[in-house]
Amino acid sequence: MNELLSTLVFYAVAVVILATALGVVMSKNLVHSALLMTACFIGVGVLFIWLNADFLGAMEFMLYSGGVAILVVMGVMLTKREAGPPGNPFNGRKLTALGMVILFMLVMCTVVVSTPIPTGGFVSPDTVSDLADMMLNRYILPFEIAATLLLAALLGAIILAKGDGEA
Amino acid sequence: MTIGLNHCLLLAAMLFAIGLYGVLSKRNIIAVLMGVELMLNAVNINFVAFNRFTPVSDLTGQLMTVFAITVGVAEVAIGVALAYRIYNDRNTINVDELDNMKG
Amino acid sequence: MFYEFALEHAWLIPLLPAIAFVIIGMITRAYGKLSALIAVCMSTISFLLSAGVTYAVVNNGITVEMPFVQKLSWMHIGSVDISMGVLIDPLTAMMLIVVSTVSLLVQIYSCGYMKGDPGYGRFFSFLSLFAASMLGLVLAVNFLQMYVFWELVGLCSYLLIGFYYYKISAREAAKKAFMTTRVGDFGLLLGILLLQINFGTLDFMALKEIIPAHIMSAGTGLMTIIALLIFVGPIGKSGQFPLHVWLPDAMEGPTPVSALIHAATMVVAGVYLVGRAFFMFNELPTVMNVIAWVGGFTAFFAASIAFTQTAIKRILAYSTISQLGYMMLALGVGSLTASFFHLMTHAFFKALLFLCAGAVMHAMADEANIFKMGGLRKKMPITFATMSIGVLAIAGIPPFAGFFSKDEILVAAASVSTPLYLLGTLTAFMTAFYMARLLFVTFFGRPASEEAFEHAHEVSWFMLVPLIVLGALAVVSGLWGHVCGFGEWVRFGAPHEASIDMVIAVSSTILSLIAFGIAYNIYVAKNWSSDVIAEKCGILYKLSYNKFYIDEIYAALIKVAVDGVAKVFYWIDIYIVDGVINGLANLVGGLSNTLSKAENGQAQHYAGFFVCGVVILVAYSLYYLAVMGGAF
Repeated sequence: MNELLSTLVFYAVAVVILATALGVVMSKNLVHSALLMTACFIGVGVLFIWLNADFLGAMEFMLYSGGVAILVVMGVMLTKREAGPPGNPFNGRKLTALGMVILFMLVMCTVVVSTPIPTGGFVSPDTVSDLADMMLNRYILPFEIAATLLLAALLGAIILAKGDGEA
Repeated sequence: MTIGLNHCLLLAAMLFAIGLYGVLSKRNIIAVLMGVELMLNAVNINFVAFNRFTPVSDLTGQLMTVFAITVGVAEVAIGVALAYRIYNDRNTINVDELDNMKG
Repeated sequence: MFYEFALEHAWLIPLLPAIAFVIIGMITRAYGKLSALIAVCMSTISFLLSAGVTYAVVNNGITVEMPFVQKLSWMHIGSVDISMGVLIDPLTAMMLIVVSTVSLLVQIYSCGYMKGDPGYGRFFSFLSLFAASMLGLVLAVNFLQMYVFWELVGLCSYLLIGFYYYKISAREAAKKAFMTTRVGDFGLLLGILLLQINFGTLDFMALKEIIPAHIMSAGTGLMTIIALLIFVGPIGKSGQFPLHVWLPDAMEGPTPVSALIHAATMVVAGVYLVGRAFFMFNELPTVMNVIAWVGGFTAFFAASIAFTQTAIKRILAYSTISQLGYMMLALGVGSLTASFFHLMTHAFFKALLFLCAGAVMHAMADEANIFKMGGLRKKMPITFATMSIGVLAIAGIPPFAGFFSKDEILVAAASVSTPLYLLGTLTAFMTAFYMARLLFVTFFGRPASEEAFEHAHEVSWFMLVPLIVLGALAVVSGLWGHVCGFGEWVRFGAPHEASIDMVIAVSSTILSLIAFGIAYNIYVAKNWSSDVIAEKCGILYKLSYNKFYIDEIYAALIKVAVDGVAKVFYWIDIYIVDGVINGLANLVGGLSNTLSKAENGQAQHYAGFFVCGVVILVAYSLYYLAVMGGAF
């Protein structure tokens, strides 16, 4: 019963993710794309929780569905060219891209199917404190580097957006 | 049949493929950026799924996801700033009009 | 005791001038007098040490069979073990004395001769380097060490011949000397390499044991080739025919250099090499024959050219070649003693002659043509006296030095081969004639130019003292060597009996005196006109005057050979090399034109290629996993 429910949840989430992702790519309106992308991120967040990564699920909600989505919408608004909703056209290589993607999928499917899958699993009772423990002990250096990267990105974004004249 | 690693990997691969399709076929730079975000998320799903379904003893996979998200966010910030800048300089955000790299 | 110290520290002898070279070259070059002082001091110390070594050799009874050897390992390369060190036997001791004496005197002379030259300091640094490398060469324990110093000597000669580098002729002469001796050095290097390959050692003492045994067991075939190759080195360095062409041109250098390098010391390096490796040559009759005939022919050939030359230094240069031929002749007939005896006396009287010539040119404002001089004996009495001693010595008039050494060579030659003896005697006659001509034309008769004559003056004491010392040596060295048993001291094999064969001695002396008489009649008394004689000799005179056109023949040969090869290479270059290159270039150009169509500057396009690449790589590895079962 429980397992059936879990399976159903997975498939439901998977359908949501893929559908919204397709929507992002196919939509003719860029704002719609952005909104669908937010929905897709929410789906991914749910998937994380389903995978017992509750902290990551929360992060996904906050950072991607919140922060990134807002940034992207801001980008859309700031770069609007003419009146009316911003378009989201394809370039001239739609079919080429499709071919590549299908090839890619073929290869990936082969990889997934032909690789022996290890059994077993790991579920942490308390992901938050475990992650915190690792982050501040063993992975302190990557943590600090990530912090530096964020700072650099912040400054870079500001300088880029300000432009030459005002810098 | 129980949902296992395979299902998650296939889901991630499909999400990645859709993102890739967006990256390769869109004209608008913001749309390309969205495709990149989708691909990043597909990778994150892989990390978490491997951490969940393989016999490991800690949360390294999830931790990597944390870093990946950090990098992804930084990338979006820079990407949007770039798009804005390009738009300001050239009055376009169509990727196929940007051919500075032409050899 | 001082002599023990000198023997133990013989390595200081070449080191001190080398230090002088470094100090002068790096620090005091701009201060001429200080540089000269340093050079002379170092040379003096190394002269004293040489004297000490010589005394020690006599006192300690060091002989050719039991030399004094000091060695230290220089490097190991695989199985090749190369050492550096000093080898002292009477041969070395004699060379040390000769080289250090002459170089010291020449340095003192240069203090006066080079006065006012802008390159004063530079000159002394080069002289010091030269002395260092020549002394190092003399002390070498193995062929490699000798080769190293051999090349250093060549370098010094290049530097010193080209000392007046702003003169095109000096530059050309320096280049010519370097290139010509290089031809010989190449043969020498090949010979040394063959020795190393075949015997695994280059050490003189070791080879002395190995080579006779090898010849006993394996015959002379290989050794003949090696010895001939090694002999090519001395042919180049000691100005033997046909590589003698550089020596006369080398007179472009300052006169002290000519005296030091191209008369007394450097050119005898080749003779010394043959002497040092005499244990090898002596076992090979064919090679000895070659050496003797090359020497004999060179002696005669150079003397015949010296007949007609007019530039004072050129006459002396050809006489040097001729005398070197004598030494080679002596070696070839198996008399190491005679050769080295002549080497020693020649070093003294030839240095004397060159320094006198330098003094004359100095006094005559660098005039080199002897026919523009004349009557100088009144103006320059000391120079005249010393020059006369030199001429008498080289002409072989008793009791001057050249008489004894030349006599020994002729005795040795007569005991082996009559043609060689006759060649030697004829050369002695010619030598006496052209040297007398030099002396008479320069110092007797009427001044050719009154103005220059008035200007002429005796040179400074810096220059006169070496002349006097060398003059004294030119008088006594032969007699001293004869009386004190030079032959028992410097020798190879059994001690050499130094006795004078009256027939040979008297006949060569009489011939020399006749030559003097002829020269006197032509150039002083003017009984016979030299122009008429030249007219009558016709083609011979022309050949001699133009040095048998050797230079022209070389130039033509080189022109034919080099131009021919160059033409072939030009054709290959244009049609084959360029064809290939152009073809390649067109291919690459076409390819890149095609490929550049892909480079349209669109990031998405590139990303597409990137993805394709990733897909292909992954598919490829999958294929391997499937086919090879996971083994990459």
